Amino acid sequence: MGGEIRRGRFTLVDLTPYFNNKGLSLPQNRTQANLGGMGSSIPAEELPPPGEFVNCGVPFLMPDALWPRDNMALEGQELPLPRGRWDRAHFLGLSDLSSFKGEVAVVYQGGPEELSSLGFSAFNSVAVPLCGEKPGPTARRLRTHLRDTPMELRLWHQTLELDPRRELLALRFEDIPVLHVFALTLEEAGGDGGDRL
Amino acid sequence: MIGVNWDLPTEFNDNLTCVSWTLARLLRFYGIDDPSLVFGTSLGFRLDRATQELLWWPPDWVEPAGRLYGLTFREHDVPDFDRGWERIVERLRQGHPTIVVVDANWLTYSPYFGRGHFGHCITVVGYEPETWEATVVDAGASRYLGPMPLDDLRRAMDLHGLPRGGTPVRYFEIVPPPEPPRLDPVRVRSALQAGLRGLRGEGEPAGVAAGLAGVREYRAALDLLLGRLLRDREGAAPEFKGHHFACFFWGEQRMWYGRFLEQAGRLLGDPAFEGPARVCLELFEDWRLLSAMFIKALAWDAAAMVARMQRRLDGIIGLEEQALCGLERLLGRGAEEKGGEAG
Repeated sequence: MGGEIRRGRFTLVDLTPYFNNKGLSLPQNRTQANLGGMGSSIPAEELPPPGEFVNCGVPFLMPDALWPRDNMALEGQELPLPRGRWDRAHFLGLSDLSSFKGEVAVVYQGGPEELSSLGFSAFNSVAVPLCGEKPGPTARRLRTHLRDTPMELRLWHQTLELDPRRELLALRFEDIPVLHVFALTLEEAGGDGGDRL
Repeated sequence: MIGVNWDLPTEFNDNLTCVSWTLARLLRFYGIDDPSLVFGTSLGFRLDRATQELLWWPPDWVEPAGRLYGLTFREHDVPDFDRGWERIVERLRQGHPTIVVVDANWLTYSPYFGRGHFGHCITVVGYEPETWEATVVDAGASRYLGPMPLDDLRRAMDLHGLPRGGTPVRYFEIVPPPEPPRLDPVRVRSALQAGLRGLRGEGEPAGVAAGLAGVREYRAALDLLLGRLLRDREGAAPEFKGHHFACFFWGEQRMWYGRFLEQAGRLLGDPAFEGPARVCLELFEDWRLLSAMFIKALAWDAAAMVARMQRRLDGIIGLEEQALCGLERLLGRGAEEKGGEAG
């Protein structure tokens, strides 16, 4: 695992090798995007520009809509992570259908794995987060291959609590292809959750 | 402005179809809450085994569901828009909204505009004769409450473009009960019995018992279908989209079953309903995921998706078996108590 960026107690994980889907688009590459399989995408020009940005105090890496792939649809992958002890993982993601939760196996050094839950609300269901997320960046149009339609869309900021006493190796996701992760940031132990040690 | 006082929020539940959500909103409009029981008796979506087509409108369960609460739906098939519109405006003057069946391809306010012909339903709640604009509520993913030029509505209500069209213009008048009915015990018991029988699948193709047989057939058919996709993606696309909708509705039905069982268990104070309710809700998620996978298989790596869909369907079969066992147990309890039932 390499390419991560450290910002204070946060480490921004480089997910690009794991991207398998294109959900962001610009007007000039709208036909290359296909978030849920029906040709929809989120207009990237309405989101923070590619690179680092901060959401609810947590830095994330916004993928570039010019890349051929910009998010990871969950299909049972195991995602190796920068080794360390972390309080929590922050995800920027969405569900391309309705809100969905799935299992995520948290793999620690020396085992055993711990099962936890990761879920996102639908990207077009902006009013109420149904999976306990924080709001992320929004767009005001849904883009298809043919046109843009006014509709409020949102990426969601989901947090997964980790065990800061154990060294984290990887996360293994369930096969739930409606869930998409665009960015992942790890928060170092000793932050807000340090009192649990 | 001619119209009804539609002050309900345009909230949207992405777990429902347009029909379910429209009906739920209309029940609320007439002061009738608790749609779970109504929908628990929804036995409707029928799968045509010969064609594997889902006959999903007009929905069979709208009428019996409404009857439970004293609502009457009067279906009208008329040869032209003007004749229907005259009646819809007359109903608005009397203070009643009307459900109209539309071709989503022509809904200019919607993201579905121009993206293919499929049946949808919206509710007309007002009309401004000076600007020739209707006010419509779209309880589907468009989440729209607002004006629609009458010419646009006229075009959308022409159903000739639908694969199962045939009827030029179709709408449903709604006649409410004199006053909002209450869920008295006889009514509840009647709903529970009908719902449980429907869930099990007595004479209802969408019930769990019949459903399970169907799912097993479906599993065999899926292998062939997926093989076809790998050989000819373009050719298999229409059939895949059909299965996407079929799974979507099967999933929705399992959700209503689950909600119905939850509600019934609460009303009866009987914890035996909890297990089957949970299984049905789990099935709902699995069917919905499978539904999504049919679409993704067309757009993404089909070969990889094939094995994943087969695994998920195997899991669904196991859960359907569990749901059926649970319902058999509940029905057995019902039979034991039959002597004490009224109505």
